[in-house]
Amino acid sequence: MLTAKKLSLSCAGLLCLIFFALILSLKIGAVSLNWQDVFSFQSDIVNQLRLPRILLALLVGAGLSLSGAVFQALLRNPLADPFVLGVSSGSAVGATLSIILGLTMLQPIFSFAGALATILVVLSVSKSFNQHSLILTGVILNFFLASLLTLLLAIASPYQLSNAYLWLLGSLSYQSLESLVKILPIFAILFTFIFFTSGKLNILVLGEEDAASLGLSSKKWSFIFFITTSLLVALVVSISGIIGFVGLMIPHACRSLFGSDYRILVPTSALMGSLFLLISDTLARTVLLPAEIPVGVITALLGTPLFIYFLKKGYDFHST
Amino acid sequence: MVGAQSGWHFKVTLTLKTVSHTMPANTMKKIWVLSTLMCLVLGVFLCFYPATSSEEGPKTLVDELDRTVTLPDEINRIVSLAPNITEILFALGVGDKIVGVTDYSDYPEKAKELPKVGSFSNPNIELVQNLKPDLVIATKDGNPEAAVKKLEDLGITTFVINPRNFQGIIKSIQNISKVLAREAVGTHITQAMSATQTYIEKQVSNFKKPKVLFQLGAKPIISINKNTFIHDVIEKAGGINIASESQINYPEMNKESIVASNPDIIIVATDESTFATIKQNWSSFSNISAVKKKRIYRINPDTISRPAPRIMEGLVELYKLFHFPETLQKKS
Amino acid sequence: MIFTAHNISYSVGGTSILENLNFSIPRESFVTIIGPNGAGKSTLLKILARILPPSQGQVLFENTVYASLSHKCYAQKVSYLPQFFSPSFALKVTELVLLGRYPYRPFFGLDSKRDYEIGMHSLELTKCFHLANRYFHTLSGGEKQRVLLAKCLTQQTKTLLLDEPTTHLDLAHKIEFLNLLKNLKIQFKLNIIMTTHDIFFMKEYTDYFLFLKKGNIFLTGNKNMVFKKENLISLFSMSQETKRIFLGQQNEFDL
Repeated sequence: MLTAKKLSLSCAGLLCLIFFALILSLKIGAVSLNWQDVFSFQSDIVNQLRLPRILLALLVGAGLSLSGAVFQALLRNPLADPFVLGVSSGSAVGATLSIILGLTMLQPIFSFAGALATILVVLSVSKSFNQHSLILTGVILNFFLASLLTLLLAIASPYQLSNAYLWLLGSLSYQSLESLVKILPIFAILFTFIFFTSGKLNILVLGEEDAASLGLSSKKWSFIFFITTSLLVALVVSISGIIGFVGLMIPHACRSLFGSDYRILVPTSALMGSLFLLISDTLARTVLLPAEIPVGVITALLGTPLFIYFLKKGYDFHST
Repeated sequence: MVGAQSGWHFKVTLTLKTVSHTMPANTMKKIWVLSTLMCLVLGVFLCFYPATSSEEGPKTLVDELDRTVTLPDEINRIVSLAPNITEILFALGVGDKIVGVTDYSDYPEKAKELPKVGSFSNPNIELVQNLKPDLVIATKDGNPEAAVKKLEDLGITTFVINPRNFQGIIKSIQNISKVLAREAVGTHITQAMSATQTYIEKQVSNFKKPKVLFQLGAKPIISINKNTFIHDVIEKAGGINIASESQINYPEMNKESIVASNPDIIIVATDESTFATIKQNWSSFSNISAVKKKRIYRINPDTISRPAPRIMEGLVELYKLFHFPETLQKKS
Repeated sequence: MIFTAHNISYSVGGTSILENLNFSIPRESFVTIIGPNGAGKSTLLKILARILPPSQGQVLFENTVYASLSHKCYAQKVSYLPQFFSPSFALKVTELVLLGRYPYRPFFGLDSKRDYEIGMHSLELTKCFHLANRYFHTLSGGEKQRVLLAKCLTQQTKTLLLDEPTTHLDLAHKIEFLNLLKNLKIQFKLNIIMTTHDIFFMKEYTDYFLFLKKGNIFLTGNKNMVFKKENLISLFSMSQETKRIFLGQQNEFDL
């Protein structure tokens, strides 16, 4: 049974871990700092370079795993992740377009616009809003947008290509506190909304009929969750590019630790996603100096053994 | 500095020597007179130009992205964010002031020993900041705009160049020389480059222009259209780029269209081992003029695709390959 | 009358499944809807459960047009046990049963102690208490049905609609389940409405029958009036041969 005590303890525990990871991440990096530098907050490296990056990693990680968890409920599919409905492909096309047009400073806007366009297409195509039509629409859109993306990449010059490549693999470098401040309000609103309605996801995941028998309008709430979560994905991807694995794996890890109840799954997925991405990003920028490994590579490399561990522990992904 | 100058002078003369030995005698004489005059003028110019060491650099300059850059009083620590910028800096004689470069800054030899700050498509700002540079020089085509912005946020003086064609390269060298208060050396280099360019352009106006396929890469075959500066160099060297009208800057060529265009020359910008494979791949297409006449040549990619003084070598090499194949002894 | 239906029709994609049904269902009765495959029993039940809206006609629940009630309110009065239930994620029995409290929860509510007690009590009533910490998908067919029944009981509704609850159960479990239903009905004065195409033993438990054939009401009424061999023969459109065997079985199974 889910008690307030269990909920608050789990979240508090994860918050502590995040705090430690944060402090450590401030200290380590391409340039060695001592503890005094870190805590005095005088150093440019800390303030301008590491802190924005760390905060964004926390935000992006939370957004990705949260949306993964919600999409898994919405589509009643344990293999769903934030990118399955095509929103991230739309984002990728937008971002690549901005690179080709030489408007890289407008990249977040272009990629957000691309994501929004995709959301609108899904809305207009998938009228009945059940899991099948959503997944089908998403798969088709992904195919189409991927070919569009390939076309754009073919036109790009070699330099533009490597810029696009970096974005596509996901990157948190060159972030400033500015971008964080811009997305934080909307992010907070979306997150709070999903947190307070998370109970409905428990019912939604049962299926249309069973949800109706418990008094929940499946179609209405599928729509609401689709819009809010897709917006969250669009927001996050426009800043960081496509970082895989977080949205797929973290919800399952949390299910195995905290149970399937979405009222605890939503906050813990978000927090664990933050922690995971922060650790991955710090590794990405310190392991192979002076080069930086794209963070998406680290999330996959770290995530896979973790995933296997949970599988071995007896966690069951599908009931039938 | 004097060594650098005379080095360039020597190179210019040598270049002119090699291209001119097939010329009729009186034309040769004209050239020699002309080039000697040029060098004299330059020498005089240099002697009377105020010594650079006591020069004060200008306080603000506008870079090639129309950014107004305020320069520090003294520039002793420079970070270069691209291999071509490193080459330019060494050519201007400030190689000893470079404290950080990106990967592949491999020319001249000394550059290989310099500390690395990441790749030019993903420079590590922490490392740059830690080197405490007085000046960072970046290029628009390659360095991410966000990286430049980050450097601005950190208060690090950043000058951005954007060379788009041969003339643009000359301009960038001039701009960098202004930033570093090395105008004299800069002018020396750029005037040599212009002189060579002018000379070659004049010569080729009398020649028949061969059709050229410029190839980057073995599979697929990537060429360049008229929006690239490699195309500019090819044109100046008196060649006709068969891919110039393509809609895409770096188009993938299909073999049929190449056969249809029937180029007289194929230039491949690659390393030696890949070149052998590429030449092999072409051998079956005997109906292409370039293959029939064995006019498939390799060019060092760094002399043709890096916007730096060595582009002149690329220009001259192409000029030779296009119009004086007989002068090439052992070019296989 | 707990339910009254006026001219209900249901069609989907041009195919008519139910045509002009008019009937009433009495209170505090064990009602069984019987019919051959494809008669439209599940559809009718779903309409009563408000999972599907009728294409035409009106349903009155406790003499109110049921469309005028809010979904949440309705869910506090009527619960539904589906024929097929396969959740996409592993659920513990306790978690599943507690979902039945959803219609009573405030906007963002965690389960209260009372919710928990109700859930555990339902598991006791259905003799599933020992299964509380097991995963639902690891249970046997009979156990699954009882846990789903416990979920309906947790919903604390007076009316339970069950779609073919015994169809996949073996003999012993079937009888066990029907016994359980009957006892609960008596204990809590519930309205039980279930569908089945399996007539055996139904007379023992049912008070009121509704025979459905090809989307039409064939016969309704009290069991003694309606549950007769000739009615069943007509309902299932038995051929001569089948009829002969059916009539011959008279002594082996007491219908």
